Amino acid sequence: MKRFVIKLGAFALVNAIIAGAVLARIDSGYAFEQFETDSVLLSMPHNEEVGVLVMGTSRARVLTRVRCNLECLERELGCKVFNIAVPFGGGIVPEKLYLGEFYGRGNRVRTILFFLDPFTMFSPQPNQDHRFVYYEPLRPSLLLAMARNEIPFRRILIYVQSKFTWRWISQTAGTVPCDFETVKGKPDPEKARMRVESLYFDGLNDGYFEHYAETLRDILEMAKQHGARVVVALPPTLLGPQPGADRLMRQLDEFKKSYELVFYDFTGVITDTALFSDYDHLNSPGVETFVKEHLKLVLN
Amino acid sequence: MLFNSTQFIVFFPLVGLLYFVLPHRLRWLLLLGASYFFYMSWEPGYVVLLAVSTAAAYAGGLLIGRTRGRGRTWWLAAGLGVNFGLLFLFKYYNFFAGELRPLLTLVGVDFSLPVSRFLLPLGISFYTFQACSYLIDVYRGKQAPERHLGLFALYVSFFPQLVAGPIERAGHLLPQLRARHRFDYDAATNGLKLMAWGFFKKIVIADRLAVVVEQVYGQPGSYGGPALAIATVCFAFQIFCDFSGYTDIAIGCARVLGFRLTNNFRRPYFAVSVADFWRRWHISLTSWFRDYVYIPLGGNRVGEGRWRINIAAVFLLSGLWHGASWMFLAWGAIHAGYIIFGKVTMPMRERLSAALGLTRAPRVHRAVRAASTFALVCFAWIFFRAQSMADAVGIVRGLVSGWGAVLDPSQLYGVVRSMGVLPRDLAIFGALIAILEVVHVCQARGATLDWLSRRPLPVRWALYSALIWTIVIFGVFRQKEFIYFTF
Repeated sequence: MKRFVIKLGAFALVNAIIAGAVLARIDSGYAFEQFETDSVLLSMPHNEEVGVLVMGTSRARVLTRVRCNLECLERELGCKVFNIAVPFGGGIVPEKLYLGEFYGRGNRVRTILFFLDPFTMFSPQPNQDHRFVYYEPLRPSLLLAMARNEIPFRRILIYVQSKFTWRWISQTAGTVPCDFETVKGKPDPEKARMRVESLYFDGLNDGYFEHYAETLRDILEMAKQHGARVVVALPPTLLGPQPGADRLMRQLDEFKKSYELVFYDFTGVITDTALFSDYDHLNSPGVETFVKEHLKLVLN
Repeated sequence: MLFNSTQFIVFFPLVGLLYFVLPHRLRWLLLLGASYFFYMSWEPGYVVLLAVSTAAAYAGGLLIGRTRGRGRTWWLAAGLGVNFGLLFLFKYYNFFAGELRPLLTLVGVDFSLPVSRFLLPLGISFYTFQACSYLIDVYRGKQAPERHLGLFALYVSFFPQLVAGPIERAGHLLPQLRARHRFDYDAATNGLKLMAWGFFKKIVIADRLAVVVEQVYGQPGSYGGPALAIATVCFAFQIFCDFSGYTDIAIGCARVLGFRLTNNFRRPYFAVSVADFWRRWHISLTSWFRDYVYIPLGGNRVGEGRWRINIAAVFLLSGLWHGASWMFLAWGAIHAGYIIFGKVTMPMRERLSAALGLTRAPRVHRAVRAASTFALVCFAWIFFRAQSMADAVGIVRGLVSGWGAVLDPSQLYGVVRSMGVLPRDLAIFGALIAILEVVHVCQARGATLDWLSRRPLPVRWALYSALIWTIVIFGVFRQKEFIYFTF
């Protein structure tokens, strides 16, 4: 049995070394722009000064999801913008991990623009159970941060396993220059209601809110320690008022006692359906309008 | 707990390590606890059924052993009654209750039985048949009654083969459970190789082919002949790779622990007749029906008419074993028809083969027979997989239409895309099936595991690594259940 265990161990070690080497070689070849990938870490700079760091869900991700959106944003704000918002409904826990990685790489930022959707505070689905792990390269620092932030072991396994898939090995840069998809006609109230309902996996769970409020506190503390100004906002959508927004705003009022932050509610500032690709994501003309008429005013 | 799950990856090494560390007298207890834990990880409450089935067979065996005369038959009936009774209640009751109502209505009786809301217990068909084979063997005097309740319980619940076979005979497994097993390096390594090969078949081949099958068989009315044919062939390999993959993992697990389970598959798609197919497919079930149904009914030592009835009975029961549905009965009936028709037409087919010169080219003859057997088996699989009789009939009708698309590349591309895949995916499926069949050819020519063991270490490690990395990179890890779990 000893011989078996030794040989099995040696076999595993040889394969782990080869796998690590191959993965490192493959990952080192990945250098994407923000609009070319859903991965935050594959496009994250090192030791750079960034004017605005965008955080949030996919509603914030759209600001840099395609080339023309990013170009518009940087042109209007007059500074470099980096986006660590999590696509596909990602929440506050992944954002904390990404912010930690951002600062861990020696980057600096003047203003953090956090589009904080209330639904991310009420369920583990957009947080510990989110699929953001699929998009990120294998990094020991991220693995450690996941373990410390209660990411389930199952998710961590998926994180590791997803790096050894054909999908990861063969990924290429996304090539959509601009997004001109629009919502046809007037918004359907029933569709809007169903969309909102689908985001609140566990309803307005107070227990979860209290838990994720502490995660939000950790984010604010990190920003404070690195001297960043924090702007928290509700993003523009066609869905109307978001459940739990008042609870969130009360919590932010509490945080204002300890942290310097300002809050803006952009929920209904854009109502033209031609500026949305779906009920809660701006398209490229929508991003341009939003940046020029609203964001630029609050950030400059 | 599925074999293709993270729980099993932790469970099995732990059980294996503890097994060889513990003294022999405690090993049965470990394996019994592990087996019950394995079963309870699915639905804890249903372990009671497993325990009841075990207790009935254990008590039945002892009582048969102690009784003389007709009393033995009564105890056998009681033991079989409890086991088959539970099987009927949990698997067939709703089907028969549903079919009874229209029959009673025909004769003017308005009565319906209540619907059972029980889940189908995992593996009930397998462990019930295993327990019953023990009882019958004891009754026939082929097997001594097992007095050790723990060992007997382990025989019924041994986790590698508990939920999807192979269905083991007491005479084969009980002595192994009693024997002292030392750790055997070759057995352990061969067991792991078998498990890897099983995972490859299940996770890389079967679960990939499932994409096409689910798409087409989910809406068969939307597809023409080419798509239906491709999906049916994909299903033929999906079910083979799924089931034989499970069996390989089960046999491999058991071999690591020092046990040898029955081989359940022998390259079934190499069969040269449907009768040959059934000597190669789900061998443990086929032999169960042969020994406990077909031979007691007289087998082939009866007149032609009676023989046909025997064949029909065996295959209808085999169909019913798979599920309480007219579809499975139809599938069984089709195979019975094949066997009967095959025997009736054998002289004519032999004359035809001679006339065509096939008997002078045995390899070609064999290939023609294997291809035609595969086509017949695939046709029957339509009824096994289709969601309803209407779908199955629709698929059969649809198979003869839309073949013009094969001649037009753009139309053919559209057909492939409509199945939810790209042409390169079909090419990958073809390559995977080709790899599978190359390995089968190698197995047919000799013991592949022994051949592998004689290669130099770097060659062996390269092959093992290639297999494992293929599973990791190309495997589908959405934890799809094994098809035969539903039986």
